[in-house]
Amino acid sequence: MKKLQALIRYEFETTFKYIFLFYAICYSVIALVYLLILILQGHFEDAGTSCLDMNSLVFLSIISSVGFTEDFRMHIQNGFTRKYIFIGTTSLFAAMALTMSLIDTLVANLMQYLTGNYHSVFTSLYGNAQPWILSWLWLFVLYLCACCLCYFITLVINRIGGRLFLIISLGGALFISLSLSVLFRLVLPAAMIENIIRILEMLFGFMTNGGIQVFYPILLFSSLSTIIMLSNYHLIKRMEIKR
Amino acid sequence: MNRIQISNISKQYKDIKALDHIYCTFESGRIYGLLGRNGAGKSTLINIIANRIFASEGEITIDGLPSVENMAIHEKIYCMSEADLYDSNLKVKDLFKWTSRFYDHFDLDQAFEIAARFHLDVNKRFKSLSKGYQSIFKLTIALSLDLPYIIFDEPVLGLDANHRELFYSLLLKNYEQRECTYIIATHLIEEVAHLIEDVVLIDQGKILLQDSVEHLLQNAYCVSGFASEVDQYCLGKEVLGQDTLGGMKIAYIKGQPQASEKLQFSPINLQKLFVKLTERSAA
Repeated sequence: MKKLQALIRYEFETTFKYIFLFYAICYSVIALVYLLILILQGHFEDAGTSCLDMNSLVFLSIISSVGFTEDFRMHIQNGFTRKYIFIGTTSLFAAMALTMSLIDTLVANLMQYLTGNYHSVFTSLYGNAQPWILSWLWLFVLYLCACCLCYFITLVINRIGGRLFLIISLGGALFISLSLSVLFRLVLPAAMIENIIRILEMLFGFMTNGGIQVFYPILLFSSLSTIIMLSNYHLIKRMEIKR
Repeated sequence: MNRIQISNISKQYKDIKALDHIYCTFESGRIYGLLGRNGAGKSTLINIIANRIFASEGEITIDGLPSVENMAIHEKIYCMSEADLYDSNLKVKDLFKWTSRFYDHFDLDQAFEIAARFHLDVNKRFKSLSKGYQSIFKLTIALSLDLPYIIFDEPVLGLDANHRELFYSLLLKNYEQRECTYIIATHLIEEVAHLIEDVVLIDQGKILLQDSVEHLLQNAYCVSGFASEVDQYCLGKEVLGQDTLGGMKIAYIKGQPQASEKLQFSPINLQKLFVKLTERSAA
């Protein structure tokens, strides 16, 4: 347990500084833009921003994939098992997602209070009527899902190589889009297509009666995160150091 | 029971069999030389012992415990290799600090002391160190760990002669003070010949021999003289190899010398023995 704590502490200490740096840069840029608008126009009436959490989503996606190789090698060098490495990495993802979703939710609420016209990704989809705690939870599972997915992609690339991954991805994307087009336009009856769309809308929280049920997308992203995490564990437990 | 036991280990890559049903043992409290030509399988074997890659077949146990994915052996073994596996953005002193957190038996003070002796700048980031100093950093970590088994894979890569001498003297000093097993994989056979007690010779993925250095050198010798005389002498003997220069010949023979007035006899050195054994194996 002590070794696992040391590993998790290493992950946190070497990664969290980049989160602070990210927010410092992000909000400095926003402040600079507001300042420029003030200087050029003399007022903030035309100034506005929204969906800053998209930046966090991109940042988390990048950081969860970029550090993989070096961290994995460092931990293997220091005698950790792949199980420990997986637990450490997953803990890091959870902590990053929790922290950043909390910051982004609080900032969104503050910006909405100050400007009256700020929208986060959540409020853009579901409106301002939902409690902020649900907004935080939704954002947390979305961030966690993004981290796990990008890590999964990195692990797959590491396993099969970049070129093969690219071919499979492009080929797969082409196949899926063509198949779906054919299915939806030519094969499936209209009633079934409507049902499919209705189910997808429900999964994302949009009920047939026009209401919003945020627990469904929270459950969806949580389930996806769990499935991807299990896949990550399966991939990492056979990962070898490449010469 | 205190040993590294390697049983029937094989490693198959796509079209190459890097290790072919290897059996060998590294006993506690000895210094081993793991010798072999380029591509023989030394690093592959070391990487399997260190849980960096997986064997296709077979099992390795360390003090009776399986070596694969087992945190119970974390405080038993450490591997220093030429591969750069450290966080290259961290400073040397920070890497020391993290090692002391990962390992209970890492002596941080000793690490700084050894670093000072090598003139290793602990405030530099790992990636900004020269190749030689990266090796020195890795050696420093390995020499500061008090674990039962320490493996060195090409430890003196990029080191100048002075630093190599310093490393060997620190290694011996550690060995005298602690009960530990050192396994040194190296191409510089003559440099380590005075250090190592046992030799494991690996060639083309197979163990060619495992024996003590003393026994090996006592049971092989050189005989030199006129080519015809040497050829006559060699009849019926196990000849490891021969070198010819004009009308003169040197033969390397396994066994005990038999007196002959026309020939000269001399001991064989470990490097020459290694070269002749591996040449014979290749033939």
